[in-house]
Amino acid sequence: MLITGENFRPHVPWIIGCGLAALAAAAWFLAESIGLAAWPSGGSRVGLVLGLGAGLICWFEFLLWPRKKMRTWRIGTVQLWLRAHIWLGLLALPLAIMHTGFRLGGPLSAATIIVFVLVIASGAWGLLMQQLIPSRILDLVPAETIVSQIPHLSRLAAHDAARLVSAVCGDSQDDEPDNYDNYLVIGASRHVGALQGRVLMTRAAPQEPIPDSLVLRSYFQNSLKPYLLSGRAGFPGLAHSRQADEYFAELRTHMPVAAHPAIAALADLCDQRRQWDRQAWLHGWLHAWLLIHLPLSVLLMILLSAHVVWALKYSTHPIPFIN
Amino acid sequence: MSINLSEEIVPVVLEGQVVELEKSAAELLTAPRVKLKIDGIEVEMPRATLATDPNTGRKFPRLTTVYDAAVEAKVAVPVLCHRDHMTPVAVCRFCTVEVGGRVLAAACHRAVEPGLDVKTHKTSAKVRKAIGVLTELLLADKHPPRGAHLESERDELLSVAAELGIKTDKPSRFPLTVRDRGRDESSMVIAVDHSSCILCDRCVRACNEIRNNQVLGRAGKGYTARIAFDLDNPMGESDCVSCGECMVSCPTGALSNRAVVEAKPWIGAKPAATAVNADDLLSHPLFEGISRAFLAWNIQSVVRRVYEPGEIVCREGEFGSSAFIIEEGDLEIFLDAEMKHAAKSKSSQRTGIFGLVKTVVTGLAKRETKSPDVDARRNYIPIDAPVSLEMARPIATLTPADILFGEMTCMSSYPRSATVRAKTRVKLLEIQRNVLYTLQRSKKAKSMLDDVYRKRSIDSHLRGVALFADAITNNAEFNAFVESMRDKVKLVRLNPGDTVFRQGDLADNFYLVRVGFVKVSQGRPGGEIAIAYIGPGGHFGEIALMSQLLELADKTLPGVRIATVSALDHVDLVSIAATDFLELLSRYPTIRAALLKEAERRLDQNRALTKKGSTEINLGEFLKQGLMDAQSLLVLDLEKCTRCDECTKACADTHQGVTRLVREGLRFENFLVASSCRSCLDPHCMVGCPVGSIRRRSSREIVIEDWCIGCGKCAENCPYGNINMHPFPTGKKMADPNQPGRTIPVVQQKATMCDLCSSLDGTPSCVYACPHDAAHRMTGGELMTLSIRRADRLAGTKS
Repeated sequence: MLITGENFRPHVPWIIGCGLAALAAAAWFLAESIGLAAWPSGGSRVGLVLGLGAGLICWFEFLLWPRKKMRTWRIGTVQLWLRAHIWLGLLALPLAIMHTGFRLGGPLSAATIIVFVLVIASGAWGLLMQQLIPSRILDLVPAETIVSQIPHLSRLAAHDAARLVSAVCGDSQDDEPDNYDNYLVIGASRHVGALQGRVLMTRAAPQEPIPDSLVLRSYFQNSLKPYLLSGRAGFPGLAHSRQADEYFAELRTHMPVAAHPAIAALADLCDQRRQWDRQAWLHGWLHAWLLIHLPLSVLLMILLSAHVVWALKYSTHPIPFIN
Repeated sequence: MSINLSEEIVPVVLEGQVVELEKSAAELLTAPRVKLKIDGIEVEMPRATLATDPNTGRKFPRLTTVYDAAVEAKVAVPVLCHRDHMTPVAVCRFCTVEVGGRVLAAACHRAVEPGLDVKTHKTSAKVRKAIGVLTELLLADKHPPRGAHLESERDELLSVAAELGIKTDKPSRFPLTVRDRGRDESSMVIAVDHSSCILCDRCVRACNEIRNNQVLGRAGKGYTARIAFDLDNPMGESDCVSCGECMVSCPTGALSNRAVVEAKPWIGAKPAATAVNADDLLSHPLFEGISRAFLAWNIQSVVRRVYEPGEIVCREGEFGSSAFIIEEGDLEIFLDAEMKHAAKSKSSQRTGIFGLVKTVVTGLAKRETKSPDVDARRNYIPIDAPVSLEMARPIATLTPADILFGEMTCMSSYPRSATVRAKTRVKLLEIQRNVLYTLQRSKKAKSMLDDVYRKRSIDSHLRGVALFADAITNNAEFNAFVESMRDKVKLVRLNPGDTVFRQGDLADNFYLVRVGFVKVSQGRPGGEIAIAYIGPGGHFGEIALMSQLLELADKTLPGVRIATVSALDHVDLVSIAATDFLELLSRYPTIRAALLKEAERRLDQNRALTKKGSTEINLGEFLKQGLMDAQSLLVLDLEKCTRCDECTKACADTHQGVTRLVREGLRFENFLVASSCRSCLDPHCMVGCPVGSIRRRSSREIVIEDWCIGCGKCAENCPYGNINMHPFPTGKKMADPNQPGRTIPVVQQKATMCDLCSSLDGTPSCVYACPHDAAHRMTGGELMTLSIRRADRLAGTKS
């Protein structure tokens, strides 16, 4: 969630509320600690209340996951939930630390607080990524598409390039056999509208094969096609624009001048593929933190449950309100 | 008429609009009218008329034929293969007439010539004999349509035979053919009986010219000649989309309705709606000349509803897709203006950034309305009915003489402009858009409605024009003014995109807007700039006509249009010729003064716009993409969007796993307009739905009802690619044509589009599920405001 001056207003009540709660908790904690040799422990009255608060917040934070899966439920916008997730999550950190009394405690308590800090840190990292990366994508990837569609679009680009190479070199590839649908369709199956349809090939395809241009086919098979299909993983030699410039400059020296427009079209396709690689990389940074945040959150909930049970059942200290 | 690409293209003004044509075609259209005689009746006809290609909207000249002249002379010439809205092919020769030469001519195809003396079957024995033999031969070569399930249609060939006095119940001198040319019942919707087909090609032209489906053609030669689908495939296995146009066009019932698709748009309607059969409708003068097959095919598109006194027919502000024909009784039409002003919508109470945006945009809108405008001085309110309402007491009565109301809502999908309540017991015919569209193509219906305007509506319409109402306050004087204008006004009907005149054209008419909206724009360096939108009650075209007046002489070019005016939707204009307009100015100095003041205001506004800086409203690209027409764009702020696809997933979750939005589309600054229905003000998608399943119910969103037949017409019509065809399982199975012995499931294509989650709770799930405040629904104007603000901010940062 991008937080800027322009859209800061909805966050203000949360910041004030959470800030006041944190200050109140700190004041109480300090007041309780006066006259004590050490900071109040998690089993003390203030420690227990703060721990309970932090624990409840953790459970609420965890509920964002199922909330996001129940997309048709009208129980508050996901945006509201996420705002609460961010600020309550940050509030939980001082509460939890005060609950520990600034001690790691036993192995279970230590593991719980360490995982908790890691969860908060990974979430903060994710929030930071959300501030930076969307605008980077806007700047660096003008040919941005839907990430999940990149393999499909890569295949289409490779297919178009193959047709272009065939038009230049004169060899036609065998058409793929038609696959019959395994169902019968009633009604129109056309896809229409001003924004649809592919119009590549109108610019660079020559009318008839160009003599002395067979070398293009081997270039295409060995490097261009793997790159268009798989990006950097397919042929690293085209992954950087400078490398690509050198590659196509060399290719032009082997090809007749009449084929140069086709080479320019292939270079454009490679540039587009390079942007998709960049997009996938940025997309990875934008979402990779979830691979840490989510499993750690699950682990935290397990540890937290165990910690609660352990503390209530096996604690050697008297527990306020209970004992 | 073929197009000669090397020929010079010239703009000409025809039937109230500017058309670019080849020079020879333009000369033909502007050539002097010719006089000819039809059965001794003298008529005067133009050499050619302007026709519109139904698919491309392109204007082209159509030579006036002897058949057109016969219609003008009110001489009935029998036709079979000819239809007014199709290209004449003259294959049946039923319209044969004598034109003085050795051979007979087909009236539908023979162009008019000066001095032509035409004799039809009524006055020429030779013609009568020729048509008689033709009829007998065709009757001998065709069987009556077969199949108990087939809906019986009126056989036009039998009608002609009856008119010619040929007895069909007695054995003919030509024996009935024994050849069975076969039946094709492979389609689930339409049955084909080749033995009943007379090869008139009406179905072929309907499919290819009218619907542009390019499925029907001819196959075989001689006795084996027949209509064929695609490459002579069975109809059910061809690319036929079952739109029904071929069946509607068939004169003999060879193509007939299997009545499989049962549209039931009126379930639960209160008061109850009863379907009206085709014969009943044809007895109504407004439906005279409409194809019976069309009415039968669209049987649920016209229903009769009876309202008791006090019952509400429609409410102001509701969206709808129907118009009403008054059969019996009186209605009250009125405005709930006070309630409207007091009401505060929920959206206006929004908080957060979206609320801020709303506030800003609303504020801007308010500032716009504060500008000096004739609306502020309006005494009458134009509404979607043949009457205008008095501002002080906005109520009027509609009677059967008014014939029709609700046209604008039906054709252009605007909200209802007034509330209508039954005053007495009222019988109404409620008609859907596809039927109204066909009615508007009918010359008879058009002339009836024009007549109603001249006789009944002109008074309240002119009173609704603030310019006239303010200038002539004396009632008797106003009545005299209306009387003087009655025969001078001409009605002009425009389709969306039609141009009334272009910047730089010579001025010839003054225009009043009766129905719909026009856009006034000027071409400037950097693109087109829209300077005004004029709606019902407004007027335009006066500046160029008044430029010769001393007061304006140094302010504008004499007699030349300073802007281009084009129709934004289905528009009805009232035009007043330049000479009549100037006479009006000299007769009514108050009107002259008011018009002068208005013209000066518009010119000042124009000059102010020209002086504006870089962030002026350069709407060229914005308008080209149709964004100003949008009521609910799904806009993603790409600076906030994390590409998590929650919006798409939420859409799919709401609609049985099929998403109705694609997170890809146009970009303005950092805003992405996702491919999702925009709820356009004038939805192009609604035009041409053969079963009327795409429509607005009583709100903003457009819905596709479940009786969609999957023809894809709406998807084709949507200029923005926001309607998708999606296969849904039918539960049926049939033999696999590619692998004998195997059965495959049958899926039915259906159109899917965003309905703003009206099926759920009306809150779009895409916006509700966006965790990052990146997805918003907004109008085109709001997006424009946001884009301009961002551009300004960036410009400020750079400087």
